[in-house]
Amino acid sequence: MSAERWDVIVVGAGHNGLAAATVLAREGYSVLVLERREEVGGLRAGLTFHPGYRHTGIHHEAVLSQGVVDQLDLASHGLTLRAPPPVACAGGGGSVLVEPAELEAVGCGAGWRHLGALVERIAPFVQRLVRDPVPRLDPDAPLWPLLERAVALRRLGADTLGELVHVLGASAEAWLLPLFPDPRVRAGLMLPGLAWGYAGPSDPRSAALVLHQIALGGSEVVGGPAALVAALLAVARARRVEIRTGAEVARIVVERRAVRGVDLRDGARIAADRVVSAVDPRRTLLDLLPPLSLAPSVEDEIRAFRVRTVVAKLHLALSQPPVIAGRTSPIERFRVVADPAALDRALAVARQGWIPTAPALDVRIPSLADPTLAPPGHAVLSAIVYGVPPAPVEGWSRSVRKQLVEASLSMLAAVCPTIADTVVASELVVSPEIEARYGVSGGHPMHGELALDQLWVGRPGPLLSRSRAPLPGVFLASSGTHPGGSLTAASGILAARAVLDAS
Amino acid sequence: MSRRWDVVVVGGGHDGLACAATLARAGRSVLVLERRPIVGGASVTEEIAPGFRAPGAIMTASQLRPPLVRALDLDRHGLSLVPFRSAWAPSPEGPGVCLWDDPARTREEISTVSVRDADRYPELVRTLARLAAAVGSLVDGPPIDPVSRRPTELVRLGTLAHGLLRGGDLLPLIAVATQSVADWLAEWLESEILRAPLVAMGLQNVFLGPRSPGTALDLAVASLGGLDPAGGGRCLAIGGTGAVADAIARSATAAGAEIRTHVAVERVHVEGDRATGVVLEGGEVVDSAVVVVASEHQDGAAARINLALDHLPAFNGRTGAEHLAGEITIAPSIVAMDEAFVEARAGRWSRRPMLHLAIPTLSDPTLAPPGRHVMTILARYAPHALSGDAAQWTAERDPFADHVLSVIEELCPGLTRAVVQRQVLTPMPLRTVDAPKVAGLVTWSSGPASGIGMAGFRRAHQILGGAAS
Repeated sequence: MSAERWDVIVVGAGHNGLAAATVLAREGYSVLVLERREEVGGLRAGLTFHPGYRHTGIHHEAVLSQGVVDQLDLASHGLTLRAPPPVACAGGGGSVLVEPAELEAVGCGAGWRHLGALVERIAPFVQRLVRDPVPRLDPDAPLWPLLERAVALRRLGADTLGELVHVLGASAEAWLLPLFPDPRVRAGLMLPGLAWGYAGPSDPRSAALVLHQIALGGSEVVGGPAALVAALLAVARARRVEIRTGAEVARIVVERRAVRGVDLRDGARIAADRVVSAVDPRRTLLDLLPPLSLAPSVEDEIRAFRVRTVVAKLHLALSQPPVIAGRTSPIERFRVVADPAALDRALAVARQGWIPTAPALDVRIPSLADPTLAPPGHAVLSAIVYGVPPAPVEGWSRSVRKQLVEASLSMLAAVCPTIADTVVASELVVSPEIEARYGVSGGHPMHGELALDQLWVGRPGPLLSRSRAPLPGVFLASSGTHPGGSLTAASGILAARAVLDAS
Repeated sequence: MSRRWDVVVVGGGHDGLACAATLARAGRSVLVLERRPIVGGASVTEEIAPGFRAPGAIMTASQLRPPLVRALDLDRHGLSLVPFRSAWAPSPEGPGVCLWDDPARTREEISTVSVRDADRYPELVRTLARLAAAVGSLVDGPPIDPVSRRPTELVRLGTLAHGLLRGGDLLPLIAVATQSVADWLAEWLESEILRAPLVAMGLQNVFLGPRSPGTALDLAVASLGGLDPAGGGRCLAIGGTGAVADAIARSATAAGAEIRTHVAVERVHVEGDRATGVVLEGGEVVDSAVVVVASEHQDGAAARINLALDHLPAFNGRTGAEHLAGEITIAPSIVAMDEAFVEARAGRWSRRPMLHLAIPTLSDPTLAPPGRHVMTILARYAPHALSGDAAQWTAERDPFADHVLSVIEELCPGLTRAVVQRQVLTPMPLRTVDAPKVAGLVTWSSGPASGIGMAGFRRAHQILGGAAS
């Protein structure tokens, strides 16, 4: 038998795994983090995709809440936050920067102020909703936590509550149309909220996803994903967390319904009484746990958790930074979509299994903030491509991939006319590759669809959303578990709290 | 005329009638004004050819809610319901799947496409029945305002939420209220032959697609009378859906309400901040303490086709007529329904429509001459607002109906030859009540999904509770 023994093993060294490890190590546990890949950072690990050009990961944004920074003491490890640079909404001719003056010029100033005020009013409520564990909602649930939340909801006032009730049922388009008459602005504001789901701007209940994303926006890490990962790594190491890369966990060892540790792919066994898995919940429960260790109700629940995705990642190596037509200097973040109907169309085509002619793009030029990512004067463009079939009718053949790249490039060229001549190399990463490379089910960058029914108590389901697998000693820390999604490190911190509560 | 009524109801559709009957039975003096020569609105039975009678916009009585039947004593006022005994989804290959009023027989049928689904189906039926009961408790009572600060409303909301929590219905309700009907059913059933018609059933009353979030709730609403014939609530009214409106009208007049047809209302009469009656076309003023504007609302995405048939046509795949007496659903694949919805949203009618059929004459021979039949069809999607050059339903009516018939013809060769006469009711625009917000005026804008007459019934209870004063 192996002599190696830890208090806690964390599987996966993405932001959630590192955060969980740090919180637990601070409480005195001995913690080992095992990472299958050679680098830490998970989906935020940068990679050289063409000699001399490096991207910053599948997620090119690094949004973080002040609360997480404080809880993990990241500031003392060199991490600073800033307001994200304003995003430009481009497409259908011209562009609008999402900042007061330009919005005012296209008649969206009042809508922007209204939205800002709404977000501010609901912020305390929303922050609690995502920071706290999901309350129990089963028939034997204690009433007090629910009453407390109901009262907090009421305290928002009749007007705010009325708007929230409206937003909960409405389509994104129905909600935002009266606020933002400019279709580019509307579509640009919607895109990040809808990108990770399967519902378009005209679909009911889609407004809530957009508000969810906007309300949880906030600040971003100076230095981007690389700085975020570096700080998480530094704070974990400072707490004496041991991190082993190239160490793939084959299964979680369970004996007599108790966790004993993990078996590595190379055959080694490492003992621990608690395993915190930052691997997506589907893979954790269906692949890492021994067969038949789940009750049928739990297995049904996790099999019903949807992981199909309608996005791909496109990385471009460019000989110079792209400039949006009509502007004099490059913009760090921009979205390419003409109007909400274009999002509807791209999604509809993708759901049928075809490549849309006009995919929508959420673009970042990370090399503007970090010139070391590209050779001097050159640039790296990172784009989330929206409107990509989870399973193309024709499969991911070379011609289908080429079609998607060309459609994306022509969308970009319509906004940045000179870009076509500056492309040095391109890399398209589609969901099967994300699945193979990063080990996430379905290749979904958020570890599972961000749909209204897959948030909160639905992430990944009523029996599993409280960070605990239904097996003592196994905890769920992935962004497929509440609150998950775009909330950096929050699921990991909640999982660590669940470990502490269980001890 | 100097008489002052307690309530004037503008519009003698099923909702206006249900509102009037409820108020009259509670002792109010009520006048109903209907523009058309007959009452019933969407719930009518009209002659489509000599000797053939067929339902109007509302095809069956499946959405008639038992609380309304009991409260208005509709049985005693001549209403007679015949439950459907089968729900068949014909298939281009083979006999398709037929759900029966006998669960054992249904199980046998489902086993032919999937043994796993046959095992899970009874649990699906039970779950939907529970959800429907929970939803029913919402749609049968007066509407709840989640934002209101009135103590009575807060208590109602709290009681409701507590009941749902303790009954174990809260989590499943959150799930169906946020999930699409296609995703929700995919968790239950593997066979698309069985799943597609159930998806179509969920979309029967809404202009939404199989992938639209929240449509799982629409399936729960649509299955208020039971998911399949074994629930007993999916039924026809003898005499067509007009008989439902007639029974409600009789219940109203028996309680003293007065119903006048051929009367067009020009506007609501407002004095200061109160509605005080209505002004008829021609200038006559009718005084009342409360004015109810009971206009009906269509979902704007379905057409209705009624066929007079000189004989009963035979469908492929099965012999006999037993499976034809119930509901028949023709639903393409879920991918095709999604595509059809996207097209309809863009203003084009569906090339691969979802069709709900019934042959009411097999249960109610009085609707046609002996040996003849009526087939009635609900066809979606047929968006009210068409786009492009052919933007008029007057021009698209026949091409669409021809297309629908050709789709059925593939499963039922010879149908077209059996047609003596056809009636096409093209989709109605979504109408919203444009009324001033004044005391004494009650309007509503609920869709048909809440049940026949339920919008009127619920508003009547609000009026009795003092909401309009």
